[in-house]
Amino acid sequence: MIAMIAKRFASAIPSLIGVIIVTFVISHTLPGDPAAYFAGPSATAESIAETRARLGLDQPLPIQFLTYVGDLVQGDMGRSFNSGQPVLTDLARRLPASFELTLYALVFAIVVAVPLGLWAAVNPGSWIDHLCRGTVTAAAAFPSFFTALVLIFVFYYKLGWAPSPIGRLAIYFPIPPSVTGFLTIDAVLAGDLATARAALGQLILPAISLGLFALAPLARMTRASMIGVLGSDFITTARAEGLPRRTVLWTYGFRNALLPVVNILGMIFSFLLGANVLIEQVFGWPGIGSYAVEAVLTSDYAAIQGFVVMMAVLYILLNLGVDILNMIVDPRVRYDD
Amino acid sequence: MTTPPLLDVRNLTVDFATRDGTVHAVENVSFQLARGETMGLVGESGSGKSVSAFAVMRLLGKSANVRAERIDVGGHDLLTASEAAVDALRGKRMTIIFQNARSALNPIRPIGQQIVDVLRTHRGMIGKDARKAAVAALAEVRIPDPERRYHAYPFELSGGMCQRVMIALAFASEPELLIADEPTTGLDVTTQAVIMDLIREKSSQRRMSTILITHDLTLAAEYCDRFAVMHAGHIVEQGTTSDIFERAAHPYTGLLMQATPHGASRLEDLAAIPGTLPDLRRDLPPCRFVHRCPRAAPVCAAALPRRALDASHEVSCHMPWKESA
Ligand SMILES: Nc1ncnc2c1ncn2[C@@H]1O[C@H](COP(=O)(O)OP(=O)(O)OP(=O)(O)O)[C@@H](O)[C@H]1O
Ligand SMILES: [Mg+2]
Repeated sequence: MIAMIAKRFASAIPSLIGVIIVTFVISHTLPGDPAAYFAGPSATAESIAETRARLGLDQPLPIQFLTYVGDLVQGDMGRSFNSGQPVLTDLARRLPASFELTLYALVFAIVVAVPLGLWAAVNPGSWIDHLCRGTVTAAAAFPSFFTALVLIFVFYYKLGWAPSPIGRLAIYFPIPPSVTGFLTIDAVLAGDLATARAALGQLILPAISLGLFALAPLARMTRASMIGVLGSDFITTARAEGLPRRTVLWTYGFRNALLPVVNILGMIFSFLLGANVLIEQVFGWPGIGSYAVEAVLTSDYAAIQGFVVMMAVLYILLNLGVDILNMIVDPRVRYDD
Repeated sequence: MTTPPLLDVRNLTVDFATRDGTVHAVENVSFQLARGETMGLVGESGSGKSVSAFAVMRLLGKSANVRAERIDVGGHDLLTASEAAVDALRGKRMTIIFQNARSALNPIRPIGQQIVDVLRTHRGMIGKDARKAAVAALAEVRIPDPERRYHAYPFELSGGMCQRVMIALAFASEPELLIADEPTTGLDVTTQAVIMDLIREKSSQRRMSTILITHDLTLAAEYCDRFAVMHAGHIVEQGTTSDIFERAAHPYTGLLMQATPHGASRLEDLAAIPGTLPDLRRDLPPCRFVHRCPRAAPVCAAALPRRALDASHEVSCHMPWKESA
């Protein structure tokens, strides 16, 4: 198993190198002059040139690239023009916010989509089945920021059930000492239930807006998978042996149907991380999505590159996590090599 | 038969609703099976053997329209029984094993666990007792090192081993009727004999009745007391093994036997029977063999008779071979 994990890592290295090259090239061909931006509004041509030299931006691109890679290997992603902080520090501070949001969104999507898909598979033609095939798809067809705005309009503005969409926590709540970086969990660990509840309240609307996005693929995948499994030989055997319906559906059917669903979880998670970009804007969420948007708008090279490289690494780690999860749930995978 | 048969099927008809029309897969199939008896069910691919078996087990899906005058197992009426009642009969009274044993076993559940599931359902065994009984069941079908194999997954076992597990599974509930749908197809000859001997041994120990569906006439002749020959959804002839092999009356059976002297060949290899099965979606003539039959005559357009040649031997044909022929 260790060998397999190492192998997975090794096989991801070429794509990581590719990502680094491509993002470097793209971010350096974006319009805008960071030296001018960095030198400030009152800069003269001279001070801009000086800034450019200080940042190494006057070097030819290949040299800049080598310097960049050398720094990257040492964990130095450069400094953000916007925040003045090292990019790594910025990302490390903002990543938990996005992760918490994405995880809640994923949990919401799973909790709704999997039972829906299962029910639809077991009762083909029922209204849940139609819901699964039609309505859920329609819901996903709306852009997620639109869904988010509608939810804010209804639940915050009209009904007043949701707190104002101003980030992770209203300012009058104390921020719990960081353990996991997840405010809801850290607050519970600190014994501050009021803060935990407030943080959860802030999460609900963005998590639902984001989760709705993943609902359709998950529900349809679960449905198709369960239908496939229920038609397979071993289910016929289980029925022929007279096993109770419960056992046939759950122990024999559901567990097998879950395998392909587990397989796409990694993909869905990274898909949601990407979709964060818009949702975070709408809800003022201080995550990596809004960071990336800001970086692109201001040609903040280092921040853009840092963001993309981090996403690539995350993607690789996520897939590794899914592989390991797969090994746990599917005995056949363990013996593959 | 003086004692009532264990299995009594009368005029079983199965149609499938499909996108390209209704498939008349099985029509007016009747047979009885006494306790302890083994019946071979033979016929070309697509002749309706599996469909008949699945209909008896009530395992056909919603697209199947199953009608019959009667389907009784051990005095229990299967035709009108509720889904829950059928659930209670399956496993306990009757069970089925399939050709591809590996895919017939749950791929992500240890095989011992799967046997325990059956033991718990039908014999109320749990915990250590069930475990012990499952290991014993594996030992009984001569799986080497059953203690260790208890934890094995189907993909870790050979096809022959998987079939042994299937047999252990089928017998764990101590059923009265076993339907074996091509249990040895795809296995090598030695393993085939081992599997068949296992089935025979177990079923005779318990006076269990067996329906053996197969393409392999040689194999079947050795293990079966009786035969039913199917063609295009009809049972064209049934009788004792010697009735069928020595006094075949239906032209189809006759061609089958001619083409397989002493039953020494497999049905798939038969080039000697002209034509192919008729399209079961069309309107079919009363005798579905008529277009392939060397003895076809004008009378064959009339409704199909069911002729008893003697107490055990029955043929559905207007123009049977003469007994002496
Ligand atoms: N679910 C179904 N829907 C439509 N047609 C079906 C279905 N199941 C079986 N059939 C048709 O019923 C006929 C009989 O099939 P069956 O599987 O009983 O044949 P068989 O005698 O078991 O053949 P084989 O020796 O290949 O196993 C075939 O023409 C088949 O296409
Ligand atoms: Mg078949």
